[in-house]
Amino acid sequence: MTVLETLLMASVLSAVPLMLAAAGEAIGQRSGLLNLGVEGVMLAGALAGFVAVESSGSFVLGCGAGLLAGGVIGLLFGVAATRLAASQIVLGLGVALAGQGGTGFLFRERYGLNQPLLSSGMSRPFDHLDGVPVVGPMLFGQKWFVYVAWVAVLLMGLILRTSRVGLVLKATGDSPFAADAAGVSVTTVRILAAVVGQALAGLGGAALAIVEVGFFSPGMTVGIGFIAIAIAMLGRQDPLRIAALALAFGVLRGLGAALQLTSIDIRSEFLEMIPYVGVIMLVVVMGRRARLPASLGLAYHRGARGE
Amino acid sequence: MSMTAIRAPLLSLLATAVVGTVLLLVTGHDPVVVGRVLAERTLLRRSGLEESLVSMAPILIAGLAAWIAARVGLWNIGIDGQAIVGAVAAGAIAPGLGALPAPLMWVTVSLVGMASGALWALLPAVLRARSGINEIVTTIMMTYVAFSLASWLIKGPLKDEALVAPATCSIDVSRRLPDLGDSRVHVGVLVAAGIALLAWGLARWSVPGILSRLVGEAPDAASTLHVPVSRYLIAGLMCSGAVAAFVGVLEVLAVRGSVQGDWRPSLTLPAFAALFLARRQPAWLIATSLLLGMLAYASTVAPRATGLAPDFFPMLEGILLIFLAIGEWYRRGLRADRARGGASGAGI
Amino acid sequence: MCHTAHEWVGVWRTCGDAMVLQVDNVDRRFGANVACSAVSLSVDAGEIVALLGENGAGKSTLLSIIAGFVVPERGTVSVDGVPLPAGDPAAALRAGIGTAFQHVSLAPELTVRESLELARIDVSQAAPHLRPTRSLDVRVADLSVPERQQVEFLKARMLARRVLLLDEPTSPLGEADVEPLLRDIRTVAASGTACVFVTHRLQEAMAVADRIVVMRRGHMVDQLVREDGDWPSGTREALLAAMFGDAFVTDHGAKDQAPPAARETVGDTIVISGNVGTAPLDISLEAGRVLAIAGIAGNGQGDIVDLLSGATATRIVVEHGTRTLEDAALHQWVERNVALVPEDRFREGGAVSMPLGETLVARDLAGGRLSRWGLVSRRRIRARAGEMIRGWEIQPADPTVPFGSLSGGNAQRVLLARALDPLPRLLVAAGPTNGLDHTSVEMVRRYLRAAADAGTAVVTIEYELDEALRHADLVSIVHGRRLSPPEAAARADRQRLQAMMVGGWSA
Repeated sequence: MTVLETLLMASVLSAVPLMLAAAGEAIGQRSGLLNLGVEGVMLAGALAGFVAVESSGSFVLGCGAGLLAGGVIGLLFGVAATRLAASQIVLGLGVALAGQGGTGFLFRERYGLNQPLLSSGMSRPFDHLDGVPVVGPMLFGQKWFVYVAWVAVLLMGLILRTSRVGLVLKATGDSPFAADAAGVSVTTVRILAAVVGQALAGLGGAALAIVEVGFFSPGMTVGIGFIAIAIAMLGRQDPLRIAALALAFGVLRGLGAALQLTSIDIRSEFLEMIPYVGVIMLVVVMGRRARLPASLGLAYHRGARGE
Repeated sequence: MSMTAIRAPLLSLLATAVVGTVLLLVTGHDPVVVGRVLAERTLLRRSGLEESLVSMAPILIAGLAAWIAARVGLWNIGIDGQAIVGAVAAGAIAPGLGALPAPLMWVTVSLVGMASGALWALLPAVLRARSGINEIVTTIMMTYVAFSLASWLIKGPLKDEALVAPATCSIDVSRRLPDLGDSRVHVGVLVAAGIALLAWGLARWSVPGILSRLVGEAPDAASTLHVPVSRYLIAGLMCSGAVAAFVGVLEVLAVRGSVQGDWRPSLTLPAFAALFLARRQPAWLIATSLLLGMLAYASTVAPRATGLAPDFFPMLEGILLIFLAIGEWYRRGLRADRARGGASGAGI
Repeated sequence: MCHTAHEWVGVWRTCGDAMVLQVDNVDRRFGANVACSAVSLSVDAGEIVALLGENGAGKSTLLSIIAGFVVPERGTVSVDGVPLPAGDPAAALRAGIGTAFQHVSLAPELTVRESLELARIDVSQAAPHLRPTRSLDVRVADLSVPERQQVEFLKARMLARRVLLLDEPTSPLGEADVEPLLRDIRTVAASGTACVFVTHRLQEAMAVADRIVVMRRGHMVDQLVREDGDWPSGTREALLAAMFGDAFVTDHGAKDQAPPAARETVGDTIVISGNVGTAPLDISLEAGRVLAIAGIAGNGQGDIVDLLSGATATRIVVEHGTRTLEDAALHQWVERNVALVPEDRFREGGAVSMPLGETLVARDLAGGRLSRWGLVSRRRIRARAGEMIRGWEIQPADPTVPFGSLSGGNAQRVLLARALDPLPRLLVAAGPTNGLDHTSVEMVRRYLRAAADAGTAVVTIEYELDEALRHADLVSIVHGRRLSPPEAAARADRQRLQAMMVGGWSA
């Protein structure tokens, strides 16, 4: 494969965990929840997915484990943020730290100092078509999960834009009082949004471990969780925009790897910087227009000031 | 701090201890043994206590940095990045200041390091003050850029050629911050405690200290009174960055004499844990960062002493944060609502 | 809608068959503030009941309780004989209660259509009632304040199968829109819905209600019923007496004090220039006079306040025209000489959890008084705060209580104390009497007048023309961000000014 083909293929692949986590965070943000702990949720999903695949050999089970791990954390977060009116920022930081520490701890408890690798990779269903130049490997050479993920996110985007679910979410995040007055249960909506959203983040983490790299190592997300939060905000909580941003980010990350293969002599540390600098530049350019839901991060108290 | 105020942090600590015990049991460790060993190592043995104090200093300083930003209503999640920037700046110039007497060198290095940290917080600060861009995202990104930048500098232009492992040129032991007596605790710990008391004093007796609370909690009210909110936000975040950078300065001046290429502080989250455990009071931060310092030291001795993975302790800190989030804000939320409900006067 | 048997059983109750809404013995307090005490109310099908009372009487709280947004400490609410679970807005909706809130319950980012769909309202049935026919696909945030109120009303009437609750529905409307709204209420009532309509305006209550219930300080104090379509003579006086108690004897409509004597010698004039929206605006203010800028909410008052308080001003001319200030000099002058009493007491006045003492001295600290080299002793803060608390009779007289725990009236005392001491050259007070009870309103007016008498130029933003005319020397109307030339309040033509408030004027 040429460098360009490798770059494109790797970008589409590496965008997947980020895209799933960002889409999941976006669902929560739409309803008014800000979860800074996505990093921890992704790691939990990654560990759960890895252990599931390593012990059962089934990738589907691995994905399910990721979803479950994320969903459980999402449930805890949602209940704490709504019923207990906990500070979402502190809660999120706690989840991030507990997730990092917890997964590291449990990983070591189970595997000691070993670093097991998954013996088999996921299958690629459209492999035979990847002879197409330039876009062949990118479009047809991917593992099956990549297609599922992209389709799922695009579907989600359409659903949020057109269905009642999207309307209810948007209303809850914009004005929980208005939603309450329309008969919508703000608590229920937010808890469900947290469960679904963080389940996706957990799936994203699982994707990182079992689809992209094939192993688990403590702290392997290296900031992807926080980037997911940024992308969810920049993409204005719209999965379609988020998918585009995640892809751009994947390209930036892949650029670093690709450049290392060429003869251009740039230190790898500079290349590592590119994605983060890219996000900052994006934030500077788009930041002011990134309309965040008015109630983001704030707990809803019925009957307090202004009915 | 009154008895009722202390209740929430104590309950959170208790709850965390319970969860920790359960986890130990589930994974086949004996909580009593673990607890005894760790208490012995960190508290009861003199070397352990000293090491805990040494671990406490960076957490205390980082906690103060978090407090300064939180005072004006900002969340500085980029403390680690600012710390490493301070370290690199310190490690870059310290070796070259051999001509200066040691105390003067310390002051110079500190000022340069802290200025670098402040500069590192400048972009997020301005973006937030001028354009309202969320500082959580920007400070985190600056941290990752800082890590890469530091990596490049230490492995490149600043590398000490005499060593194999990448690090900046180290300063001689005689030029480093002295230790207290014959212990291993360096003076930096006292300096950190001094900064905490200074912060408490400023919050209580200085005009910017008192008004910064207004800026943080009610920015609209502050601008009504002609308090320059924008300036407070920028100054607040930059001061926060400066203080965070001091962690890095201490790494060079006291702990190691240089910056290692693989040094990656992860103080941001423990800083917030210490801050909320101390209910956002800088004076109490000294006690809570000592507690977390002990946990940090415990995580280094745990593997050999008990076979427990070091990640166990950051996990406990995270769980502590979760309990703190649920405990205190629940109570404060209720109190504020009761107050507001009765005082709204808006068309009752 | 006929009343056959009335019995006084501690509360007026009507014959059981037609009764739709029953509120039974409801209690609710907020801290020390009694919002509702043993309140009972029953409303028949097709009946319109007006809940009358001044600000702080407890009317909105009662409505919130019926709609399920506030949980009463005691008592029940029933619809068609079935008690509703407390604190459950969804249950209230299911029982057929539709509510139009004073603080509009519409999400700003949603369109009108989406807002209706959210509440599961059939848009095709609702659309014909929308007046004027604005596109359904406009965002709520892009609507004007009266338009938003109309959408709120529309939503409420579509949801009100059995009960319609309205909280001050006419406050943001111009005079021209009030009559159509009252007509709509009558239409809804005619279809058998029980209507409860909260207001503090006597005129409107008498215009549309079948029965008026008066609340004062959380209690229901009186009830008057229309007989054969007309109000018995003396109703107005009876209502006023019930609303304000024996202390208030004169008619609410008449001027209760002689207008301030016209001053011959004029003090200094301050001219503030800047841009309001895109149009340039010059406002001229006289020291020692009170200028009231009256208008309907949503006509640019916020921009005017920003200009007057110096935030968006580009040029200020003072000292009889001899000194022009711009840029840095302008901001310095503003910091030293302009004080603002903001409209939202608790969001723009101080931090809810900050102690009263620090809140009081905040302006002094910001101005560099009280401190030396940036430091100030706690003793000096306590002394100064004590001085202000005593001088302005702030309750509770304890500088350690959090600012947020104060009542509306006391919070306003804090804002005034801060703004008037030291006396500024220009005082801007936005909606200074909003949401306050009668005693506090009088207190505010007294202090504003005293400030003017001491030489300050006072500007107030008013939402009720009558109040403006009664307390100001000069009146200006604001409409669509334009300001009319100030006229003497004593000689003003009320009708013409009302028309200007609603429809503007030609240049």
